Amino acid sequence: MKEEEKVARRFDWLDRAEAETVPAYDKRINELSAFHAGYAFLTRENYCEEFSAFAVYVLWNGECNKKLTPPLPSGGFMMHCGRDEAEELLALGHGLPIFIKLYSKLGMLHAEELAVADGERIYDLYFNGCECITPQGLCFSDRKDPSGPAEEEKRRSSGPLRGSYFSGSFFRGRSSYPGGSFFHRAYPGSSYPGGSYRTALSAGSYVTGSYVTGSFSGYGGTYVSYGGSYQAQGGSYRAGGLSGSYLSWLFGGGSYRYLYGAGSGFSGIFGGSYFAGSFRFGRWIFGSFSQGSYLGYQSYGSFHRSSFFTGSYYAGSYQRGSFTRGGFSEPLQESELLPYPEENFYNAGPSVFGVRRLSWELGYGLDLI
Amino acid sequence: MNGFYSLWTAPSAAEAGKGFAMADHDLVCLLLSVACWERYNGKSRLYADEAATKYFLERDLDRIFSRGLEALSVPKGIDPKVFWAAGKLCALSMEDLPSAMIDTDLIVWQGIGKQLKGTSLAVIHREELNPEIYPDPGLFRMAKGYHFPKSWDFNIRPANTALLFMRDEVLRDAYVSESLRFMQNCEEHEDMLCPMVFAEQRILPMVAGSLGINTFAFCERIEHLREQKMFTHLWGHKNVFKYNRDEQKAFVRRCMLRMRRDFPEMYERAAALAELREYTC
Repeated sequence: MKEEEKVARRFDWLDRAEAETVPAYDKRINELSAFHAGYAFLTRENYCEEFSAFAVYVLWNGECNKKLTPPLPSGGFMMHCGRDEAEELLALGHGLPIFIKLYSKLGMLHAEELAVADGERIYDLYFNGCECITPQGLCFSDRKDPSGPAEEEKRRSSGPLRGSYFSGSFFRGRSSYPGGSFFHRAYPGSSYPGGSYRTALSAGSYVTGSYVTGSFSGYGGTYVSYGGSYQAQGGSYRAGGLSGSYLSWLFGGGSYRYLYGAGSGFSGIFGGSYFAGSFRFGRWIFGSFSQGSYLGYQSYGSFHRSSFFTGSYYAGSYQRGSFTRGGFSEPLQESELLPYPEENFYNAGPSVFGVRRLSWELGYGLDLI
Repeated sequence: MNGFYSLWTAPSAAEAGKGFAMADHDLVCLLLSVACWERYNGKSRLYADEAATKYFLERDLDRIFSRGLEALSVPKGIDPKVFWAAGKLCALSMEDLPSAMIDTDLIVWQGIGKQLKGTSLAVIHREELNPEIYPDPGLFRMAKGYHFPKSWDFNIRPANTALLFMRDEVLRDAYVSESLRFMQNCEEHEDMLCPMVFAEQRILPMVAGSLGINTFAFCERIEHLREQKMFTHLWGHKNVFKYNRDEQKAFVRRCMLRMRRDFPEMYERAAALAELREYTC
């Protein structure tokens, strides 16, 4: 299996539907929030103390990436963080999710913004052509998806999955069938039985799914225990006019926090209930699943109590983030984007991340415009 | 002085598996380049294959070239993935000399005619024989029976052809012929830099040298590129724009502003394009 397929998800909702006009498609895509589209791998060899930055090796979801114009490369990306944070990230020992904010122009998909997330911390990820040493020893579990319609059987894993990332796809049955995928992170010390699951949300609907673990642990999934009768969660989804994607974190007690919420073309309630995303990223509250997609600050009271998605919330502040239009708000801590290593212009002396390709090839005379 | 551009779309089609479309930064840079060339130097022409011709005609952009469009074809058997600049050489073979070949991501901000008086061959700058970019040619996998001409001096520094002025048809024919011969006999299929720059940039001064023709360079040392005020060349920075939307937007906006200020007619054309409408100012 190709490496890119090992983290594949279903992204056919990114394709323009037959009856969808190009302007409508552009609008739908441009209103999407960011979603999980790859993993960032950080290694000590790729950290530069001078610039306080990692050269990031990226494994993109192949299905998603090949829809982009152009598809994104695996190297050349940079993310800034201080030494101490770098050590914390290196100690995690696994890939970090990368979120992509897409834009569409004239029917063609492009990457607008990228960020790497580690729980409450978000890091801008930007391309500047820096060289990156490919990490060794990356491993992935085999991918497995339901082969056809939503599985009828409830499956549970054989035991808890601790400290592992896993993702999956799911279908909501009966009244509407959003496809989706989601990402869970089980914190060490918690215990969340795994297995693809079927959870009753209401008498006429259920969520099923199958999961693939993210990096490094075995195949499994999650049985989601809910703190309330209408609690559920989802990932990227498409249901009626609603589509989008989001991530959730599952914490002890069954409360949920979502990284992103998305919805585009959502026109209100369907089936007597709707997806309302109350979620927390960092310590801000975000709400989503409404017309268009947005991430903004919502008070607790504005969340719909009858929604499928509820969770615990609290407000606060968060670290950097750079998404707009449905993404993060301004970062608290600005970091100067590194265009390319100045000293490489003359190809003299050691260069950042061991760049050997002559960086003066990165252009000249741009200041004359 | 006449100048010409070329667009061979097979390399981008091979890479993306999609139809031809110019990225915003490529498109705006070309428009600015043509506007500058036509003002400061002379008339321009575009050699374009079928897909590129269609792209320009659909957008009414053929009119920006006062010498119009000409059909471009590249011989079969040349791998567009490896020899992505082969189209330039084929265009050069068709052009009446003297003329200047201009990369689509190069802008010439001044007249250069005076500096080229009496010159048979001029390039924008020389390069060093960095073994990572210009390895020992003996390392290339070549077809049986291919030999490098004995008249070539492999110590000659390569010449970057983002801007290439030629006056001598004998030199032109020899250069194009040897380059195409190398490309057609090269059996490299994975390396997408070294064989191409050898064919385009290393062969040129060696052929010129074998004919006793001196290669004039606007910048003899690559370090001088930073101080010069004549040229803008996106070069590898295109890749940053490809994958860094913020940088791309900033660059395209600057180009549009510059066009609006100095080349209002070209700005009107650019602003009318669906691709560039979001950058109008």
